[in-house]
Amino acid sequence: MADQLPTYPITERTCPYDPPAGLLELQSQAPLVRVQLPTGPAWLVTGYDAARALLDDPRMSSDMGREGFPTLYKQKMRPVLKGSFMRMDGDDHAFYRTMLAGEFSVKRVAAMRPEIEEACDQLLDEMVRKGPPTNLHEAYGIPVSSRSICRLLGVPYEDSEFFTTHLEALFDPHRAGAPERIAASKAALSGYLDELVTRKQKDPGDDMISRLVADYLVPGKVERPELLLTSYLLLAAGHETTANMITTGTAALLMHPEQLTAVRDEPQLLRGAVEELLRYLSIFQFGITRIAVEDVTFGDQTVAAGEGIIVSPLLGNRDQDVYGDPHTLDVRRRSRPHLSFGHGPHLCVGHTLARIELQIAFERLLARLPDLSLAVPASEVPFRTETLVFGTVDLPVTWGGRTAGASA
Amino acid sequence: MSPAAEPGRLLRVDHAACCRSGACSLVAPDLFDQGDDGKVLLKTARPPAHLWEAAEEAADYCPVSAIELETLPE
Ligand code: HEM
Ligand code: HEM
Ligand code: SF4
Repeated sequence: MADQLPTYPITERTCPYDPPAGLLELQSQAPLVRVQLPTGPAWLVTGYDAARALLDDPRMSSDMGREGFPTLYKQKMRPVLKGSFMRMDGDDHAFYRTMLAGEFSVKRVAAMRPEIEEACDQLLDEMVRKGPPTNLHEAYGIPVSSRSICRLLGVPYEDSEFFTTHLEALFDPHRAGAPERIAASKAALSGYLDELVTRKQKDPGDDMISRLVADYLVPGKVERPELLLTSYLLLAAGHETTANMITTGTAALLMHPEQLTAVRDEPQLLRGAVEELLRYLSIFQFGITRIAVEDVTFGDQTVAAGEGIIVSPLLGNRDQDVYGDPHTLDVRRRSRPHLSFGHGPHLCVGHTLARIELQIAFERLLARLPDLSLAVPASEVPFRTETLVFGTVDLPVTWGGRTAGASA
Repeated sequence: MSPAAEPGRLLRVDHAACCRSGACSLVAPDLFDQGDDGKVLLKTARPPAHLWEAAEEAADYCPVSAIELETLPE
């Protein structure tokens, strides 16, 4: 009976790093469990293998315009806009991924490394100049992410302050901005992207917008509103996630000091450490939604046509059958790919960029401030457990001679 | 890249299935590259034994199972 199903999402955590007990309990029942979403019943995918199988199954649709599509918030059904490729399937989706693939290739992203390093170093200089303590999210997590996005899109240096101010306002972690201010920033960014396209048309540079203008807009393969929407989606899905991962990843290292020491002193661990932090934190915590367009069977369970699924990266990333001691943060772990960027054709398009940003951000931070520590007791660091993106946005840190009398 | 290729393993990619994720080049750069369009480029079909593990890892990382590592009969 629908009213007896466990309601989802379940958000109550005892330890911020451990999945809610009620969620782990569901995982122990089966790889697929019926739950009650705000929009109605759906299947929660709790197992790693089931997650991978279903996310790479063409019978599972991302099209939110379909009747019965599962969502975490009650919202009006709207047809998916042209260019909103996250919500498209098959060839329509592949068209936009093909358009963007070169921009996020491993080589192209590696070429951005020097500029991301420079941005991190400048921000650390600024932190050191101002002196401790500081909220690492504001001083480092947010700006590392927003500057990387400026570089990706080709926002010229003289505009980067305007651009990052509005980008950061859009995702103001404390929602301090009135709704009108957030709407104003959204309009400012959309307007700016429009202007940027015009500018790159006249004066192209070595950046994503310039290339998409020349290869897609000018030959008429995409229309202008589509190009603008696609660019905007990169900001929407890429900024807050990466910023949050930098800050929350640092928090996790500071609260597991032996792990921090290992990463700081053995830089060859960095790549694996970033993967482990992505797995352990599973910041996109509630899940990835799809709807079955045909009956799909996993093991002895069947998702019937028209039923929704919600894949929990948080549970899949803690699956005991895949990860030994899954609830332990171990930067030396060598394990199967985590689900934090999803799986299948919708795998996060920004994963290459996010990974390199995280590697650089942690490396520079720990090299520059080797004695970085919390400026408050760990129990006073607030974690957001009820937001789409799990983590902390208030991380008071200190360094250098550890201010005498500090409460830590 | 592959000197006196060792017998034993055959690496294959399904170019049509490849969704240009770049995951393989990221985890096994000695075996995979990407074209300007993001499509996978296989550097060698007969990886030397010391890269078998990297090849297996890449196959696991591929989000659409477009990479296969076959064991050749003796
Ligand atoms: C640590 C940071 C990040 C995390 C945890 C993350 C997570 C994810 C996840 C789980 C998905 C899959 C959604 C689905 O299958 O429906 C996704 C998709 C996506 N991500 Fe990320 N992401 C991150 C960073 C970025 C960055 C830096 C960008 C761009 C600059 C980006 C852009 C996108 C886009 C456009 C999609 C949609 C892809 C598609 O549907 O084809 N993300 N991300
Ligand atoms: C896969 C399907 C997704 C779609 C269709 C989608 C679409 C969007 C759009 C259009 C916005 C802008 C909303 C606005 O400015 O009014 C947005 C905001 C946002 N997205 Fe996504 N996104 C997706 C995936 C993701 C992923 C994977 C993450 C995190 C890992 C993410 C995190 C966010 C957050 C935190 C916001 C800010 C919401 C707010 O305004 O407070 N999104 N998303
Ligand atoms: S991992 Fe798979 S989809 Fe991604 S580039 Fe390699 S072959 Fe293509």
